[in-house]
Amino acid sequence: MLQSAKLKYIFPIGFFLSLFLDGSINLIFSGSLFAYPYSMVSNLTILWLVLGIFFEGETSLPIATWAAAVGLVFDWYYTGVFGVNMFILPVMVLIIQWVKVFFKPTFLSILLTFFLALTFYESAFYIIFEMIHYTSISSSAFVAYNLAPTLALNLCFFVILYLPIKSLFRHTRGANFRSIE
Amino acid sequence: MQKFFSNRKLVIAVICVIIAVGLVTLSVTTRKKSTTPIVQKVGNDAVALVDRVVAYPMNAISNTSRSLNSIINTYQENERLKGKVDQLEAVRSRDQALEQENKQLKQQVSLKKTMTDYKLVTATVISRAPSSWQNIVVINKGTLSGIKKNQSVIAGEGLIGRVIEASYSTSKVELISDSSDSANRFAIQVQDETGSSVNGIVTSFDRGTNEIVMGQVTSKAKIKRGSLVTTSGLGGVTPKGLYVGKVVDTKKNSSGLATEVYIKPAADMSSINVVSVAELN
Repeated sequence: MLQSAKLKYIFPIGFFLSLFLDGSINLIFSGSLFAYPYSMVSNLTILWLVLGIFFEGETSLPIATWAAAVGLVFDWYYTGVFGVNMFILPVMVLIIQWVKVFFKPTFLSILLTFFLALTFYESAFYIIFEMIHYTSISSSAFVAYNLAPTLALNLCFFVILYLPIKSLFRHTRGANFRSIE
Repeated sequence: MQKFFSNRKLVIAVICVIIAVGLVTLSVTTRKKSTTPIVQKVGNDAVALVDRVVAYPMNAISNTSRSLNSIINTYQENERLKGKVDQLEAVRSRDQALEQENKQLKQQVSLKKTMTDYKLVTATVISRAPSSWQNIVVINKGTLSGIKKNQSVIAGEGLIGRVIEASYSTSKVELISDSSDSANRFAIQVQDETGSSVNGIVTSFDRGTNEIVMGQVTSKAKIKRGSLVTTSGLGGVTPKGLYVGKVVDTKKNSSGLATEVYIKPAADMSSINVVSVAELN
């Protein structure tokens, strides 16, 4: 009954694409994204990841493994500090997969999960860099000037991209059983 | 809950944490070395290749919109720039004469290399790290073009940061505005009213006002607002005479013993597209 799932290939391609798009968007719109003292970054990677977990259906993708791979590339290419994103991302995937069985995947609940996931990701990233002294921003400044604007920007992205990505996943995941309406 | 933390998973989790801590420690120690490991270089270049392909359409769109925008301002800008060109020619010819003289004088005192002998390598910014408190950009030139770790980078008019990782055809540049402890340590100097210079280092970057802070200045010299700030070449890593910015304010620090000099950077740190890396000869 299962058709071949194109999602198996589309998911990782989209994952890496969103990683590079993040870097590109941050560069092109850097004038407005990094207007002092606020700084926000686009996190399409996390958006793709969270929606992937909720909409994979019965394809059962190895999302945590892909997350580790994307995290490794992120560390390698953007920061040069290995073992940060490479571990935060898979841990986040495991937590989301663990909690997603407790509620119905509606627009609002996924939005809330995305909000919490992004907060978790940014905070964990910040805490590790604070520990190795690669950042000296105080935690209150981090929440006010970095985390809050980043959340605002990415929730906008979420609202805009929710339906297109959802329909992309639904049409490519290949299962005959479409549970999410 | 019990199932989630079974014995086996706990062991795996602990191992993962140990590996993560090990990798982070390793990366921190490699960054302190003077060269980047080959594996990291190759990886950087390979990823950059994919990144360039992905970023190409995005850049095309942004370039088009930028050129459309600039068409509107072209006339006014042209008028304004015409005036400046004449001045610039005069400065340039004088500059050339002085350089010639400087060269001859250096020869006479048999001084071979000084901290003002540097050449600039121009590079384009490919990408910007997607983390909000870090300011790292990736540029499209590397060790093949002679770029080395720790070289200073300027954009437009002024200093913006230094190379923290040099691969074969790409490099990572950490901007002065980065919040890392070591990102902004540059030896700089300010000319005071009497013509002598006040030396110091950049001690922090004020993110609220977008200003460079030169702290712990104990000299009693009066520093005027609007004085030019350049790199001093002390320390032997940064060339002498790279333009940093202009003094906007001086304050006593909290203990009242030293002066803090606030400097408006000449380069716009938030939007950078083309940079030049200063290579000491």
